[in-house]
Amino acid sequence: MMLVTLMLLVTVAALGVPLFVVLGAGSLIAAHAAGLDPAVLIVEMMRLASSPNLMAIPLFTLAGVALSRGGAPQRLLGMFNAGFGWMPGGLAIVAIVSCAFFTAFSGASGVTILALGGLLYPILTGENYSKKFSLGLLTSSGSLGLLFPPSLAILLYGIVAGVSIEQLFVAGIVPGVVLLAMLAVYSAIVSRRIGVARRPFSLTALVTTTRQGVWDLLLPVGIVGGLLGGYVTATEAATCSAAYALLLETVIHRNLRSAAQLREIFLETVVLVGSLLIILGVALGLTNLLIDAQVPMKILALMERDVHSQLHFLLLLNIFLLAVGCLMDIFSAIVVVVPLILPLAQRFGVDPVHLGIVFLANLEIGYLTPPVGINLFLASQRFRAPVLSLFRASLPFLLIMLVWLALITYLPGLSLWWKKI
Amino acid sequence: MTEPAVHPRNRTWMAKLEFHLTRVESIVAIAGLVLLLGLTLAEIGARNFFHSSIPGADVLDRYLVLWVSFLGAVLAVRDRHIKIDAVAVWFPDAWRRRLERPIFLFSSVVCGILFWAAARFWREEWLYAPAAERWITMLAVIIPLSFFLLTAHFALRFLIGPRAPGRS
Repeated sequence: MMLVTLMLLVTVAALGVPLFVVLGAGSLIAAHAAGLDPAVLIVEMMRLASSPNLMAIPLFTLAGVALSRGGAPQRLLGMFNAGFGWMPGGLAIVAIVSCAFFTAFSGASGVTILALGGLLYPILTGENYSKKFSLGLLTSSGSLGLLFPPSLAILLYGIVAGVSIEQLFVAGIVPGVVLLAMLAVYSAIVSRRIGVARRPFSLTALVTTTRQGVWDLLLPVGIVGGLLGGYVTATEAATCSAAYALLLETVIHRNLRSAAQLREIFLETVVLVGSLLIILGVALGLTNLLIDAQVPMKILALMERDVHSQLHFLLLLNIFLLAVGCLMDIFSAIVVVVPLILPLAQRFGVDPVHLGIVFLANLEIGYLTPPVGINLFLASQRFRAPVLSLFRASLPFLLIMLVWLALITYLPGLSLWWKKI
Repeated sequence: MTEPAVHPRNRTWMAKLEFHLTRVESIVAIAGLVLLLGLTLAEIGARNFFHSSIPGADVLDRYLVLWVSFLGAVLAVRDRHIKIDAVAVWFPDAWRRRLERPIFLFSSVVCGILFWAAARFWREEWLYAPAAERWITMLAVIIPLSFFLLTAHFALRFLIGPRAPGRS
């Protein structure tokens, strides 16, 4: 009976029923099967009101939406182009760094490809990069900044797993930089092989573009500095970011001047946050019922028969999460899967902060894998190319990301170096 | 310049009701977000410059997040909700449009049951809340209210029918 219900729910989800409705239906069925009043689901939902960190989500989202509507992608692109464009593979590196920055503060919702892809694609192909390389690069760059502050995915993981958001933000920096470096090296090699001409460095261009973009750059720097120095909490950083972004776009750059533009920004924020947090609210009830039914404990008992080491567990975790990443979007996966795997990871001695970085890295790769890799669909829409050809174009980048995943999974020091300071 | 043609479905009373509901919901949600930002900024100022706090602001902040989020979820009914449509994305547009009505009906029924559960829970909370904490219970009304609005919006979408061809 349980299996039939589960299959029915998977079918309605695959047909396009909103995820929160699917989880709500699952929770109602589970409560009914356990002989409980469905009001228990509402009790769990009310727990959202006791999470002080939850406030950071709408405020960081507001900052991201204001910056992206106010022209931050173009300013960052100009600045990084002047700063890195002269290097071998310079333009590809510019694309990687700009996309990473933009993804971090636009909430990793996939808008990077829509916002920056269209700007970068003609520039890359115009400089002799092949169509295939350019499409692969831009499709895979859409989720690069997922581990950098103030990524919404990190915030959500911290809230769901009950892990310090400040520690997660710090832990994500080195793994994120390692990935950017690996992709930059690959791009430099490709650019040398195809003979892309190097451009001269211009100090004037760097100064001019930095004057424009430095204010945007200060935001992630300020967040990391504030959190590392212990000057602000994640919630305070979110409040300051939102106020700063609005001030930047309305007073300094003056790109957002009308009340209608501001209304659009607030409305977009509200809808983005709503579509995310209602899943969290409904899933809290469902995961609580699953924990009451000892589901994680049963999985653990099954695993303990065959899995005897942390390395073995991490390997299985990677395979499982890559499969999850192929089928679920990152936010749903965090809400649904994290409560189930957290007790297992703790049993095998995996640090919850390290688990968070590994979890998000797997799902970052999931953005590039069919059938529901969102980057493939957004890139397909943006560049008018078939999903499968985009997947083929992204394969070299995907392979690099898999090597990177192995590095950060089996070298926890990359994520946890700060614990030794 | 000629006015853009209005699709007949947008002239029905249901479409008008949906339009007005959405307008009121977006005004309240935006006001909630503005208030949240203002209040959290005022708190940081009060804490750092006056070494004091604003009474009740912490509770109000947390409930404002619920108001903003749940009303945002209501506003996301028209194709902005997160889906795992692993199968449906491969369907032709005409098939996906045909699926819209059953999806809206199913969603309306599930939200209706959650509304019923939330309304009963909230009523109990209200009845047993101490007088000094009634204002907090009042703020929590957003949970049943939003499930009621979700039920209504999904039902209206079910009755209005699928979007026009070519629109995503």
